[in-house]
Amino acid sequence: MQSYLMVVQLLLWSLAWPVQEAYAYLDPGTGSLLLQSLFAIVAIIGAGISLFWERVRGLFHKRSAGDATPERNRDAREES
Amino acid sequence: MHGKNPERVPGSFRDPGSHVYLLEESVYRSLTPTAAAAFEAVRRTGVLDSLISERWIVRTETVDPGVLGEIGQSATLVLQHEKVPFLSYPYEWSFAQLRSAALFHLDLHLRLLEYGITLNDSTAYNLQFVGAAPIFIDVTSLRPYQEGEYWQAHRQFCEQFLHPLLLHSVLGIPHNAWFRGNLDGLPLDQMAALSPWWACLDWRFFLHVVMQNRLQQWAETKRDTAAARVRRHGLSRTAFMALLRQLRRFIKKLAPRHPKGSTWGEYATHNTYEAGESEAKRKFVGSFIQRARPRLLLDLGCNTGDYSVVALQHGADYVVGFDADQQALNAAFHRSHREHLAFLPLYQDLANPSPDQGWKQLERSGLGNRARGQALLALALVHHLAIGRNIPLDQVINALIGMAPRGVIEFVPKADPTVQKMLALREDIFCDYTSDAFERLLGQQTQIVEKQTISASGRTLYAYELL
Repeated sequence: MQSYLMVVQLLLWSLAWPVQEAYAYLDPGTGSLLLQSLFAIVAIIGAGISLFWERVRGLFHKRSAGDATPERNRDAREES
Repeated sequence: MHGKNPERVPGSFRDPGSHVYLLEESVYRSLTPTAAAAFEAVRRTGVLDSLISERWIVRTETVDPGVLGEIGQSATLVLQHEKVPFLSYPYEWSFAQLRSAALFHLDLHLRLLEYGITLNDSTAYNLQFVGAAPIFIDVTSLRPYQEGEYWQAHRQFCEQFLHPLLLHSVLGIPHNAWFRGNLDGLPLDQMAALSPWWACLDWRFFLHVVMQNRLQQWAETKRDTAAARVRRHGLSRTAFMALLRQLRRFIKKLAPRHPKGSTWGEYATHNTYEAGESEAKRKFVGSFIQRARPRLLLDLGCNTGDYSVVALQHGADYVVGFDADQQALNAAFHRSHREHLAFLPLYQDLANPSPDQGWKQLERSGLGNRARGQALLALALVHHLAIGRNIPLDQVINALIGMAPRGVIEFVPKADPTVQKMLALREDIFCDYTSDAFERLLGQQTQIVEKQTISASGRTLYAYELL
């Protein structure tokens, strides 16, 4: 799930990014650093979505599992 | 105090913080105050000692700076390193070796980050192989990690590891000639230009090749905006490690794309020998190695390493094999890894060996300066050079015996089916290629201590010693 979201975001972002003809050598590492800054943002978004998804799943799981799971264990799982 | 002067290693100039010296078979490194402070900070974490004891990093100890004479007096710290048995370069590694080195590099970085240490660079030249085991040789590449910093060497990692692997994996082109042509690896823009559209369907390929290249192009036109964007963000340690792990998963799955039917990959099972010939050859080689007991044996045309293994079983300490067939080399590397052999197979076209190259043509040493063994094996090789590459027979013999003072050379005459195949569609211009001529030329410069014909076609093994 996370991988697909990441692909979609990267594709949209890449297509939106304006590319002009390069006219001068600047710094061979700038593209790499920009890529990493994007990676960091996507990682944060991905982690947020993942956390949200886990909570949604947790809600359904709680309903289906009823009161079988002790409160203490459920809290511990959410923290990890 | 040593009698000789330390000799600075010509390739050690890029990092101003340290310089490497050779002195009487030992490797030393002088450190400036900045590099020494970083080294001490790394050492205090305890990770360095762990990695040295686990053979991830070469043995390293601080020594009296006086060992380097005047050079040592100006150094803040002097380190002594173990010397690896044979120095090799990434353009001499097979696909399997380069992939192994790439994974090792990522694993090393991940381990270091757990201790709050990072790597200054991602150069493949900082890795060497001892047998099939990669080992890191540049301790001054290690320094304390600063929270939020980018992986400064991501592009270098891509150009020296990822792109050469993709070249072979996606396009079926071995990386060796490209890497030898450009010692910094395969540049980002060239890899992007080579990329077929279908390769971009893998989002990791898209990310590290296509997208990185587009961003680089954009940055070159929008310098200030790009710099501002870079400064505005950072990379958390978690994201840094996620990036390394993601690259690791990507590289782990890469496999070489071979053309159908490697020339020599199946040579060990599909050759023109009878079983008895092969056994006779093994006995001859085994007996020679028992007499010679070489510390370093060169196996020229090693194929998958059958006779390298025979040599190791009969007393050779370390074998470096050379071959030009990718599949054979990959198989040889996997064999060495699987069986924990003191055997290092390397890519080498012996008719066009690695030259002295790089800065001042001293940065990377040519094969001729490194390939000096105590003994050599050149089995089923001479006809490939003399007939396959038109090299005069006397020059072939001179080149071989110049690499080791003793060895075993096999001569395959024209009557043999292998040579018959080579001559089937071309004119035979090799009137001097005869057993008599070979024996006379070899005998002029060496003493032939043993000779045995091992096939009905006249294949003959010669054990020689330099006069």
